[in-house]
Amino acid sequence: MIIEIIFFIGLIIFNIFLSFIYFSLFRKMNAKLQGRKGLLFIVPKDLRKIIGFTKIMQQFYDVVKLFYKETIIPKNSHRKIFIISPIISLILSIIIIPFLYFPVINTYQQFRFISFDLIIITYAIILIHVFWNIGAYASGSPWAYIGIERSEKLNFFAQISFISSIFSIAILANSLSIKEIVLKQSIPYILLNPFSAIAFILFTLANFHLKPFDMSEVEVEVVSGPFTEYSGKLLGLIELTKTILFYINSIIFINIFLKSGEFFSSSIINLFLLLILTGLFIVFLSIINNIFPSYRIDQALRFYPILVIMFSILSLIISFIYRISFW
Amino acid sequence: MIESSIKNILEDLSSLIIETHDIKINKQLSKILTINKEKLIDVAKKILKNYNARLVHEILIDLGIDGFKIIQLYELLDKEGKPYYHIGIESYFSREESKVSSLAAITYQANWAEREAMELLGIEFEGHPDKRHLFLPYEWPNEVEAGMEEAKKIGFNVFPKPEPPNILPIGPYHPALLEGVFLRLKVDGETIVDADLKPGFNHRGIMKLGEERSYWRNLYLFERVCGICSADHTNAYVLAVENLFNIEPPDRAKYIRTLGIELERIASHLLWLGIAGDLIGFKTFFMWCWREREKAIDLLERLAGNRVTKGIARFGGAKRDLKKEEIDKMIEKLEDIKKSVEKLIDIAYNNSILRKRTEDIGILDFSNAKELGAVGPVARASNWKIDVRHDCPFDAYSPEYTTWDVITDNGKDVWARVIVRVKEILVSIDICNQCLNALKEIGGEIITSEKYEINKGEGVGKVEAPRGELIYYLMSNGEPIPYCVRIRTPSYRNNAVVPFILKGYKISDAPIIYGSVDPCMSCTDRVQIVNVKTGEKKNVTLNDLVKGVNK
Repeated sequence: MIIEIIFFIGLIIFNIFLSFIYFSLFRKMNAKLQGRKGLLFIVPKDLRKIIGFTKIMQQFYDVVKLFYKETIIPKNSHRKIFIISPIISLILSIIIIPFLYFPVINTYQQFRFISFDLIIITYAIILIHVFWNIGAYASGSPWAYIGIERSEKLNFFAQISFISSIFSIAILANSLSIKEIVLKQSIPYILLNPFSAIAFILFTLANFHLKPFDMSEVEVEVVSGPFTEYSGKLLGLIELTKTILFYINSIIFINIFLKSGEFFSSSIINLFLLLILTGLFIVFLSIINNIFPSYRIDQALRFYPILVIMFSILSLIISFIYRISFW
Repeated sequence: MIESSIKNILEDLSSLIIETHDIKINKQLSKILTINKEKLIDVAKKILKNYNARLVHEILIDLGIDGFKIIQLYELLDKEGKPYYHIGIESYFSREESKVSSLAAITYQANWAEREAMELLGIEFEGHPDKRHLFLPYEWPNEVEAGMEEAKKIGFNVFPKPEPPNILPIGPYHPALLEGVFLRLKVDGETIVDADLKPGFNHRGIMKLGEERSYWRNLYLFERVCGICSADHTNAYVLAVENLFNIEPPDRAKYIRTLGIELERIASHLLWLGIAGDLIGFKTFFMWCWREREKAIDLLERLAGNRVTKGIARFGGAKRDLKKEEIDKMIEKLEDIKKSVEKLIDIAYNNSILRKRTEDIGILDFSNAKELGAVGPVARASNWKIDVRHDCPFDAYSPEYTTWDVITDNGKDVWARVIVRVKEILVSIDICNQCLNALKEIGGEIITSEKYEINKGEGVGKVEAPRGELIYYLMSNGEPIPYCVRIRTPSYRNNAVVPFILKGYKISDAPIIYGSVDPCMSCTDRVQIVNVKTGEKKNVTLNDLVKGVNK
């Protein structure tokens, strides 16, 4: 029992560490594409030792820094909800971690009694956003209100996209368990049902406020949108949740669409492949994030729902056709 | 046309004119007509309507025990709206009768100038539609003096009170603006119903400081008015001094000054283009534009020796010369910049989202641009061919030195302002090349050796800064320190236009619409230092300030 608890804690810490690495990769890619150069390139060699290798763990420093800062709670906010929402969001994001599938570290063994982990993950991801928005609403900031309004308008369709994408894969595999979905993929599902993968990517762009769908959080318009009034430790919790959720989202994509990298007989090689594929997915997201400006909410709502509904329906139809024809 | 217009105006106003005298504005000798202050409003109506004029600036001067002097500087326009001649209307009044009819009641162009004069000099403009403070805090020093009671009647209540939830405060500090300014949006859902702008968060008292320093020391002060267009500020000030004391710089210096101004325009427009990208969430474009801007800054550093305070103009010349080898390197670098800018233009033209975010928003048509007093690229994007370099040439902008075209666009929207600025970068590169080629061929001194005397009089220096028309007015009483300095920056005019071009658009459009005028608060803000605690009003001199610091 003690070994299992230690294993679980270790697993969560390892995944949080990985999430920081991947978020740093995302930020690094953004910087590369934008042609930004950090201190390490321009300061004299002697000074580089003092500055340290911040380029790798900048996201980690940013989050840790927030935990040292003062937390300001707005006077006209609903104090309890304002504080508790980011905490619940973080707990939900951590809950998902053990359900992710890894070659070698088969965490799913601990949850063998649950055969519907995809449902848990779907609910947890959606609830994280719900709690963020509840906390933001409790802040009483007009910027937060605008941010929530925009976020909800877009998330309504984004969640349709997510659910249809996830469940069209579940239909293909005839299972609600990530492990079974991975093991049943003789051909990666991205090839069998590319529309489902597109629907997932559409969800990812809106869910993580990546361009061109970052209108609910775009700084120059709505400061930080839902998170405008958050500061210090509470903002640190939100940043931590975002970092973990971004990693979870990417791993889920590789798990359900790219066979979790299990293309070889060696588990170690497969694990490396999983990590590389996750990195490539993040690089792809970064490229999209950098080649577009952000849409206005009315402009986005003119075509985003159409794309979402189109790809969602197509992904479900394809899954049904495969299901009826081959199984 | 100029002679007939002057003749007509003089005949028309002959019964009102007390006396006339000349003033030099760049290379143009212009007339100042002195009239009785009671007749100011009638004269303004005649000039604005009958002669299709625009008000360049309304300058108020404190003459001490002699009272006040008001100068309304107009520019006459032809049928197409192209300026061709300056004319000034001057009037005097005592401290006891410090009341004048407001010109803002008939033209919005006087609005900010009169509000500034009301709050800083205590002059009352009768019939002014908006008597609120402009630069001082709303509550200073008390509600009555701040014009709060009267302000309530004009519809938009902008004072700090418990607000209804549909007022969105952008600023004083907001990621979209970065400089201290308070832009309040009254919104209905996501639609902007009304807007109000309050500058004055960056108090420096720079015009007052200018009246405490010698002409020479002011060179270093005025290049610090704005970090983006410091060469233009120095050039405008130097032109004003040269006009005041009749100094003529040599040709080589004119080319060097022009080169400095044009390089600064390239750097400024690239900076703006990047910011415009950022304001619609296009961070990559922002970074790329700023990377290219560095190249222009490098050239400015080569020319002026500095990267921020780039003032190259000196009384009767320029401060540094360029060697032939340097000229060749600069031509090469300019070619490099041109290629990069063309790539950026390609990206801007072909990015559908960028166009969608900038087209058909922030519309300012020709008549509104003229009535509200827009200048620079903002006016030119409304198809108004107005450019100081062309209308009132200075330095090496006359056709005998350089040839080029004024860029205009009839789009009237934010996209048109993007187009005008990117095309202007290419024109500036062309002018720079012409200047560099001329510098290769001509020799001579870079500063005149002729001596000049400090006389009594007035001088105006007018240049086309990257943001538009920049004016320096100087008044000398024969001492080595200017008696009066008045600066009218382009942002002073364009910022005033912002509330009008925001109405009816979405909240998401607000940053890019406001950004499209290229707002610069540092050159707009100014204030007189007062003792708020005791209510005592006195002008604090530089020496007093130094004593205060030393204590």
